[in-house]
Amino acid sequence: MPRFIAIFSSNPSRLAIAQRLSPRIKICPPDGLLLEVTARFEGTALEKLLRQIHPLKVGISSTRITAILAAQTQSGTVVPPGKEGDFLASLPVHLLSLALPEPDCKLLSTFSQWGIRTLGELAALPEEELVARLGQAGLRLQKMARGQDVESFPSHVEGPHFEESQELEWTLDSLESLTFILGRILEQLCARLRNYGLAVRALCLVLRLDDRTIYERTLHLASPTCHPKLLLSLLRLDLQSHPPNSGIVGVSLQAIPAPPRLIQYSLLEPPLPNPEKVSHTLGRLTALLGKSNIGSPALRDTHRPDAIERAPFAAPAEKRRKKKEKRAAQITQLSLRRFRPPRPTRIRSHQIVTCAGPWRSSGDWWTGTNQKWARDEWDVELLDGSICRIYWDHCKKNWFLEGIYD
Amino acid sequence: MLHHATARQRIDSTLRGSQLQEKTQKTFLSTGMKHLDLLLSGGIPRGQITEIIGPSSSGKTSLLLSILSQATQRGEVVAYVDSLSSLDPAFAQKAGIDLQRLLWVRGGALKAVDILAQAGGFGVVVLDPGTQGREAHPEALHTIPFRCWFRLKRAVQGTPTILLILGNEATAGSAASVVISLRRRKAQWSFTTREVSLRHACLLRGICTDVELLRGKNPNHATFYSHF
Repeated sequence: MPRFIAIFSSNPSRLAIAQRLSPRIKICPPDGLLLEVTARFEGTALEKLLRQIHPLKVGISSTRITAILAAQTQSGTVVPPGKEGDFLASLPVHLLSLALPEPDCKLLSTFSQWGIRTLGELAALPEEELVARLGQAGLRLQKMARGQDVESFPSHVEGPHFEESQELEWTLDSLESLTFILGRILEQLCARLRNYGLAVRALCLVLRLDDRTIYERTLHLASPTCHPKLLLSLLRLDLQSHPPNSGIVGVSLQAIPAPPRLIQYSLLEPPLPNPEKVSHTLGRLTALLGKSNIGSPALRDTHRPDAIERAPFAAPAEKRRKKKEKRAAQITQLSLRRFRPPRPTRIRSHQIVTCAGPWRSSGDWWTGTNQKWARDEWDVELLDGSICRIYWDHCKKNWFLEGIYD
Repeated sequence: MLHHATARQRIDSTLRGSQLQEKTQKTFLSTGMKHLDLLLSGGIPRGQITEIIGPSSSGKTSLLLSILSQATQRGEVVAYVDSLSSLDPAFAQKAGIDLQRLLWVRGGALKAVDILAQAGGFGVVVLDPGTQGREAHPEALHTIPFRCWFRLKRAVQGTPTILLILGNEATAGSAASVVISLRRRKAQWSFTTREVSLRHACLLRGICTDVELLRGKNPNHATFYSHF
């Protein structure tokens, strides 16, 4: 027969300690826990809890409501099986609010108006007439007053933790040796993830170095994957571009899980890059050029010229609504090729064939002196045939070449 | 013997007549402009290298963005290897490019293009070596050995990936199946004055570009306009 142990404690490690005693745990906010144990284990569990958790209020009973109320009123009470009603009879009615996630204050005040002061008096009321006046909510409270549980026991189950560690017997100072160990760790992690139907969204690598420092790298993937070879190649590319500066004495690898991406390819849609290949390609490009130079461009919501930022690139899998293609015969959008940063320039009037402007623009003058900008833009056609955009910067007091129309 | 010779001749002629001629089905990507598509016999051919060449302000980038816009509107993913980081995303978005389907690689060159071509899955891979000042440095591209271009050609052959190379001059040699040359005919301005010496215009309207197909199926000419 199961027994329930209710504990209330401000100790932050109460959940971790309780999980060692029982896999079935319910969290009772704000600082309570309800454990389900077998009757045979009850004494051992109580002893361990009293020894490891301080401060502590504990109650034990065969029903959850009785255990909670026992812990809150008379800590350390063990209610024998079948005596729940007797124990609760003398307790005041308002204590039921301690066991309810959303106490019905109106109902409890109704009991008070009727002169029902104790749980025993509430338990003694005729059921039919109670239901006729207060409905099922009243009957529910009466069952609780009798020490009967009215709801199921949804136990708290902590999500699985995907982390593998390995302490090394000797110091590693080459990438190849580390790669061999990482490969084995990744195979174990991926096998565990597949059992849960999950994939890797990000990898956190922690290396303990022989100079007693910690080296950490986090790898975010374009799309969740569960291929150990791909993950190993991405880790190797990252370590090649950011190698640790000392020998390695310990390795720890944590995988952040995510549901795998399911893509339904269509015969009629254009082909998209394979998500695993995209991750590998981005990893190779990142190792070659650096993370800040790889991604999708995104425009910021500002009028400041060339206000762009880098967004991570992920091949979109969703179908795109096709808008009607405008097949203009001969017209396209004129574009500008920018110089980054804009180049200081001096253009003489004899070099200019045609010009248009100025157009004044400014902004961010309300944020501070470092952020404000103000400029007069000109479009000019030069003798050599180029059509450029130049501007006079009011803050820097100089002419700049912004770009060439092409 | 005459009977045998006649029969043999009849069999040979019958077989010759019934031979199915293999038609290589090429697929194309539209440039977004009907006249250019007609010039190119359908558009930019897939699985091949295409060069777009021309001096500054000839309309190369406008044509390129129009092609990328067509690709992203079809749902394809494109990659832009921008050696000098000259792409303006605001103009790209105005041209109709879905920026989420654009992989922008800044600072890369042939090595990055090789990685992208080998990866596959991209509708268009662009190599824009950029311009230093107002003229390109052609020696930077001309130093690339031909075998590199042929390696790239083999990487995209048989795939739906288009490899587009921008430049002032043709550099890929015979590895490029199509070479499109652009030349600016004139810039279109709207004026408020009729003075000849220094014409202060009201607005730059756009550029008129002449297109010549230097290498392709039917070498010919066309014209297109780039407007704001």
